[in-house]
Parts: sequence; C-alpha cells; structure tokens
Amino acid sequence: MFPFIVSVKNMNNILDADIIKKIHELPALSAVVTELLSSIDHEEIDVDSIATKISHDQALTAKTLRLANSSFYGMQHKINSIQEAIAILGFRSVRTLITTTAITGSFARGHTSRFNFQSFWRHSIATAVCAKQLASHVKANQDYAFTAGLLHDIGKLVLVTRYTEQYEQVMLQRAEQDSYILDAERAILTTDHAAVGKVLTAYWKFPEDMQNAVAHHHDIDQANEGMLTAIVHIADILTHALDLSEDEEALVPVISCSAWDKLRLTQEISAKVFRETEKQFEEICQILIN
Amino acid sequence: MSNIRQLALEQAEAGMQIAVDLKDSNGNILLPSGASLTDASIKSLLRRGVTEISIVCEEEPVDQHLEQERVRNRLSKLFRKSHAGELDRLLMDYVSFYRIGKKYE
Repeated sequence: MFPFIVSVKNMNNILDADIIKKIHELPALSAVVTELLSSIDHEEIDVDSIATKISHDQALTAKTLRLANSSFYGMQHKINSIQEAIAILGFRSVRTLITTTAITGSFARGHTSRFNFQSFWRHSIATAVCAKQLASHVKANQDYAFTAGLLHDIGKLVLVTRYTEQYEQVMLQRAEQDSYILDAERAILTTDHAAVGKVLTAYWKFPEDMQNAVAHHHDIDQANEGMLTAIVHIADILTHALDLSEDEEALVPVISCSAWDKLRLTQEISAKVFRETEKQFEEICQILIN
Repeated sequence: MSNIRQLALEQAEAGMQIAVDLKDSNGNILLPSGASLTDASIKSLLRRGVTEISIVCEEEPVDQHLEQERVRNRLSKLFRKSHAGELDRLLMDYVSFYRIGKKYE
C-alpha cells in the first residue's frame, strides 16, 4: 500500500520545468500583443506601427475602444480609433487596455465542473480596478497596478486548464475543508497559483516588480517587498471583502501588516476606493467577459 | 435607529442632513451633525479638500434593518477565516461602515 501512495503523490508533484512546458502549449497571444507585453518597461517603441497592427485585429480594436470610452476614463468625447486613443489617453494606458483585452480573451473557458471562470474574471477585474485606485492614492504607477491586479491569480488558469484533474482534487479538498485555495494547492500539488503565476509572467518577460507582485501577493511577511506587491495584496483583500466575485464560498485572505502599513488606508480613503472600484467594475466586466 | 450613509461629497446635494460632525484634520468642526447642506457649504467643503461626508438618509427603517442583517451575515461569512486579526477586523468595520453606515458588531 505504502509505495502506491508515494507514487500518487509524485504524480501530483508539479515542477517548474513541467509548468514551463505546459505554458508553451497555452493558446498563443497574437504577435502584436506579445510585442506590447515585452515592451512594458521599454520606452523606445514604434507607436505608429503598433497602432496600425492593432487596428488590423477588429475584435481587439473594438473591445479596446469600448474600454477607452467607458467611465473608467470618463472622457467627454468619443474615441474612434486606436491612434486617437493613444493621442488622448497616452500610449501606456492604451497598452494596458490592449493587453488586458488580449489576455482575458486568450484563456478559453475550459470544461471543469468546479472552477467558475466567470467568478475568476470578476475577481481579477475587480482587483485590477481596485489596485489602480490604490496606486493613485499612494502615487504609484496606475497602469502597472492595473495589469498586476488583473494577472495576480493567472496561475490558477494555468493550473485549471493544464492540470485539470489535479486541480479538481484541489477544489474538492478546498470545499471539504473550507480552507484557503492556496493551502489546498500546496497540499495536493506542492506548488501554488502564486508560484505558477510567477513562472508565467517571467515567461512573458513582465517587469520584475510585476512578477514579484504576482509571486508574493499572498505572503504575510512583506517587509522586503515593494509597493506594487503591497497594492496587489491589499486590492485582492479589499475586493474579496466587497464580495464582487459572486462566489458564495469566497474567503477574505489574512491581511499582511507590512502591506497595510505601506498603503495608509483610513476609513475615509477606503470608502473612496470602495466606491470608485464598484463604480467602474461592472462596466469593465460587461465589456471584457460578457 | 439612525440611518447613516457615507457619500462622496461630489454626489451630495443641498438639503441633505449631516449625520456626523464633519471635522478638519485638526479636529475643528466644519459642520455639526444635524446641519443641512447648502450649495454654498458644499462648494466650501470641496475647496477644503473634503471628499467624503456622512448624511442622514430617509429609508424605510424595516428595510434598513434587514439590509443591516444581510450585510452583517455576509461579512461574517466572508471573514470566517480571518476575523480574529486586528487589521482584518478593522477592515470589516470599514466595509460595514461603507455599506450600512455603522461598524460591524
């Protein structure tokens, strides 16, 4: 009996090398989106040629323009083209909108009984919107915060779409024990969605602080972490507390003192963050996932 | 039972009644509880950088009570693993105050 149990354990043991292999099998992002992703920390980039390439993808262009015209930016006049969006909102913001649209569109909804893709994206989008509000409060880069918030749980999508059976076990254990999903992942897979997310964002060549925010968003000790990690950690918690994912079984993670201290949230500021997050959230969900 | 709601000052309108003394960062009272807002006082508060106010709202007391129960029960479920922490408990108060104008009890 004993050797059998050991072999089952080994079967579930997911290694980084294995994850990288699986990531290669993920649906490819279009060439222009890959170019945009890898340009996140580059300043010298041919904006005109990128705008032209994006305009050739009609679905991507249409969704990006709907986002640009949403209350997220509160523009007075309608933006009609990618070029116009870049001129008015700036290249950085448009890049955030395009990569957001492309990434949310790139993970097809799988066939798993337990994983709720709708809740997943609702929570990810809420965290992105909330992270942007928090970044504005501490005068950090709002586009970085939005993207890092959107992607903080992306490791879950790798696990649920590439390790579907094992992840069913994780979700079953989580439900039976009413534990945090992170603990169930560690118990069954010996890795977790934060670590897998780090591998994916490194593969996508995201800036290092964004990779760290994904990797450490559940860490309780954040003394050595940067502001972006603190923003994503707290945004994740605030949006769970606001109950925005429509997941009946949602659990608010435990707050890291060091992250909380960095953000200096008073009752007045948190009320403002809550209100702005809820104001923008539903509209962005409508555009991206419905 | 007092029905208090927190509101962005931008959304406030003349005639609304202040529910809690509005103080500046030095603790000086800008507007006492019970005062009614006027267009002039809203402008003056905006100039002072005030962003949030608590106002008295007139809703059916029974509905209000049900809503408070609902928010309270949902918060206790969402925080069922983390409510023992000091900061986590503070956040429950923040959300409760935002939703129903009073702390979680």
